[in-house]
Amino acid sequence: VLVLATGQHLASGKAIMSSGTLLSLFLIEWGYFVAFEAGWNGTTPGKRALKLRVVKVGGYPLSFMDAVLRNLLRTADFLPVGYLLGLVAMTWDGRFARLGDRAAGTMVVIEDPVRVAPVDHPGSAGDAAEIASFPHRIALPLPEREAIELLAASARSVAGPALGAGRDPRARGGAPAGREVRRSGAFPRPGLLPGGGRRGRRGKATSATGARP
Amino acid sequence: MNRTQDEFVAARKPAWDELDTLLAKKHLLHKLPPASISRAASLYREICSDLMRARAAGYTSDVIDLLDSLAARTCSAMYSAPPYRLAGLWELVTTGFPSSVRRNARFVALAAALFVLPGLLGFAGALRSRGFAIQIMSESMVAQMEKSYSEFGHGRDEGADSMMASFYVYNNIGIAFRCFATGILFGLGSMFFLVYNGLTIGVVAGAVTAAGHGRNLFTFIAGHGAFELTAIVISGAAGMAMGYALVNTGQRSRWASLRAQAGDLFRMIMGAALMLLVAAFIEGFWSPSSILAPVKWGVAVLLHLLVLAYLLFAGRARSRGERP
Repeated sequence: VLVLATGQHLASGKAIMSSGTLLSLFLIEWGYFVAFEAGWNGTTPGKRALKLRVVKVGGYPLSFMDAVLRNLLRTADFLPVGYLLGLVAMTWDGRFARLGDRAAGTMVVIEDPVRVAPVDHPGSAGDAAEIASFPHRIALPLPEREAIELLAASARSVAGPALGAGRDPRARGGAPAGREVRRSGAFPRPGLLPGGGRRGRRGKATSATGARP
Repeated sequence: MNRTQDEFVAARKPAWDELDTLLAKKHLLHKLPPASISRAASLYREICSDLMRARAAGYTSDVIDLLDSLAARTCSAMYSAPPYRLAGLWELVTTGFPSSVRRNARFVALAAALFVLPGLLGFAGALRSRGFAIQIMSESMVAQMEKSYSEFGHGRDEGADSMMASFYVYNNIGIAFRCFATGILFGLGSMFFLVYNGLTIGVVAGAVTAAGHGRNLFTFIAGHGAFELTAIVISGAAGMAMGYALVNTGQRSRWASLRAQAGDLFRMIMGAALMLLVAAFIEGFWSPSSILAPVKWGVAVLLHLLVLAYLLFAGRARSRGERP
């Protein structure tokens, strides 16, 4: 509004920027996130590259209004400098939501693309007797088994695909072999899946909303 | 029913594969024949209970991940956001925006007071002493203002007009958005922006008037002011309404209380942005033109009445019908 007065001297001086540049600046600053998040189901090119998606807290897609609110409030999150307020707000919130997300009722989820390794038999690793001596399935509670799997997965990613992939005896005769499975975290819980108390591997907010292209 | 994991998978896998096939049509679930849609819905419920059962029985995580992913994909196919149509924009302009403004009339009144009173103070102060003006703004700024309003009609060429119109869009809508957004700090940010902008505009007007060019300034502002200043007040009011929703929560959590207001806030800030768009065109092309002052004043009065009537009456009958 200051410009209602201050703009005048810009006009009387030389035109510093063309009107196209100014309008583009405006559209990029305020329109980019809204347009992509509303029109592309919660993603922008950058979010796609990083496998992120904005969804409502209930897990369903965000509306145009939510996209507008969460992105306008980006300004408040930026205060006083470098998104400091947003960072503080995130530490207060279990879903690591910044102020704009809290106001719009949205969260950013990770669509983690890690795949479960195809079921593989020990093969030449030992003789038949050794294989037969493996228990059919290890009787460990789920969290412990998940921890072991996570360990094996990180060993795989460090040492390359050859190591550890087939060393998991409980993988024998498991579920759908060779099926691509997204390693997902907590499925959006409220109201959708009563009793689903499983926590995501990266904390509460890691949910995969699946393989929508 | 006590089944091993393998028996469970063998028994249930056909259903999972069937749902997977239905989902392979990607976004187009709603375009399938009705029977397939209701089949998908009942499969979705089955898979949700399979997922719970698998979790409760402690089956291995590949099964759980598969079901989790399948359920999540079905969820995002079943629940999609309503598309935003052009009709929504029309509804916003004719009904939604003015009735949201009326519902928040007390915030609009408060915002107007926070904008106008500092403005009057700044005007009176700068009129009386130049020292007051340069306390608020830098001396070079004040001098620049006095210079730029020293002649009537600025005689810009066409390119400068459209450049300025774009600049008003960029700058003023940006200010309105910031004025709204900082209201999340319990309304304090919006109050600051309102007072600051009111005071600065008042000081500029006072200083320019003291230098003897008041007529030029007010003739310039009068036309677009109806849209521009009103829109800034409304965006500040929306910010304060947002802050107030965090304070007076009425049996809700703070954020739930805010989200209950989200529709009104959205309509107010979008309406304000549209008003500023109109203002930018008036300010870019009409206000600096060299049309005679009486004509400009006549148009300005009409525009003020138009804005007032619009905010007071537009969409009244329909919104009354909708909310008995």
